[in-house]
Amino acid sequence: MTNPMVISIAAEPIAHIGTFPVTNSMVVAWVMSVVLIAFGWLASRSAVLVPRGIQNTFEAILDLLLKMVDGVTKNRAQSKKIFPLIATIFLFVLAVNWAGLLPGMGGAVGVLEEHEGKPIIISFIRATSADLNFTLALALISVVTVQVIGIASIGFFKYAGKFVNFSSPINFFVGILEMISEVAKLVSFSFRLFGNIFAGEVLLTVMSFLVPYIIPLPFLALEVFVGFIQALVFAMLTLVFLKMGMEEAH
Amino acid sequence: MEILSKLGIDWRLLIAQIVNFAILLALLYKFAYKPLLALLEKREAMIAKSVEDARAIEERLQQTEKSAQEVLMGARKEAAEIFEAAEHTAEQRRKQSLEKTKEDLRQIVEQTRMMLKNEKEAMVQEARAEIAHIVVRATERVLADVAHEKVNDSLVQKTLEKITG
Repeated sequence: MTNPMVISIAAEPIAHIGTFPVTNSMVVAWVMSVVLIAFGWLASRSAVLVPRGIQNTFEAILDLLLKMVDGVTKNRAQSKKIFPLIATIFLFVLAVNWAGLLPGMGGAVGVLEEHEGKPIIISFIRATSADLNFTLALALISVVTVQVIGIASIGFFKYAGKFVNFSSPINFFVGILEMISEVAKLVSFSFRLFGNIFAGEVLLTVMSFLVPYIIPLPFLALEVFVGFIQALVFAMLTLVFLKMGMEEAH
Repeated sequence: MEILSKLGIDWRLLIAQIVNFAILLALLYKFAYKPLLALLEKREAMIAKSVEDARAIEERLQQTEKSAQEVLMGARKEAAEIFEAAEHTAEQRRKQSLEKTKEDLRQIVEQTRMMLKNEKEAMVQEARAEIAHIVVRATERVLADVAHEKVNDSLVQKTLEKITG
């Protein structure tokens, strides 16, 4: 008898290409990328001025996101510059969060492996955001983009002046705090998303193990909501940080 | 670094995720965001233009209505003026013609009166002559028996004048 109740913080490899471990979260990331690209391509393939069907759906989503970005930047030119990143973060995080809720997660369908002498099932499906590699990668992208856009907007020296400032001891200390806060952003970004989604997966796995029917449903619904909220939070925070980076220091 | 590997962080997977995301971003940008955002902007511009057009049309309509109203008011005023002038003229003309008629009538009456007077005078004259003649004859006849014939016309004439005074 297999034991499905093996909870691993790290994403489990389900195959290897050479020495490269292909983890289940990586597979989900690839699949959802392809799905998103296909969706976007289908939506814009025969884009017309009066939208119908899939184009309409995708446009409505993009329009909402654009309005959100506009609401923060209050500047259409800036919005257009950062919109692709914000939209991709939101759509991709949302897609992988919800992908982790598909049937087959939590060791229901997967490859059989030995774990400390016992056979366990490694699920094919694990929300990509329940893998710190992904959340840290996204946090790095977000924070690095904030720095790059900041430098591009107000110049290297002015931007560096935010962190290294000898005009007064207080400003010097504030500069150090700014530096620490950038690192803290990395940690908070990655662990917030990871923690929420991973906790959701664990919760659903445990609930399904204890009571397979009906009872997990409210939790499933809750996780759908959490997946949406976390995608929104990640995109929104990146947006706000980008906007702050584009402004000069006060 | 041991804590990182305990958390499942593997730099190869990390880089793979970054690359994956970058590719996704690039492809979505090329296939979805760029064409659809361009379309959104085009539509927005179009809607803004139609709203602007509608506003302009509305404005023009109001202007037209206003000017029509003005023209109508002018015409009405003019008509009233013309009407008043016509009434005035008509009144004057009526008065004039009345005056003329009165004058004519007076003239006719005057003429008639003159004519009647003349006629009467002529008639009186004639009657007097006739009566005088008749009286002379009658007197002659009467006096032929009682007196001699030498009662002449001049005596009768004098007598008659005394009577009629």
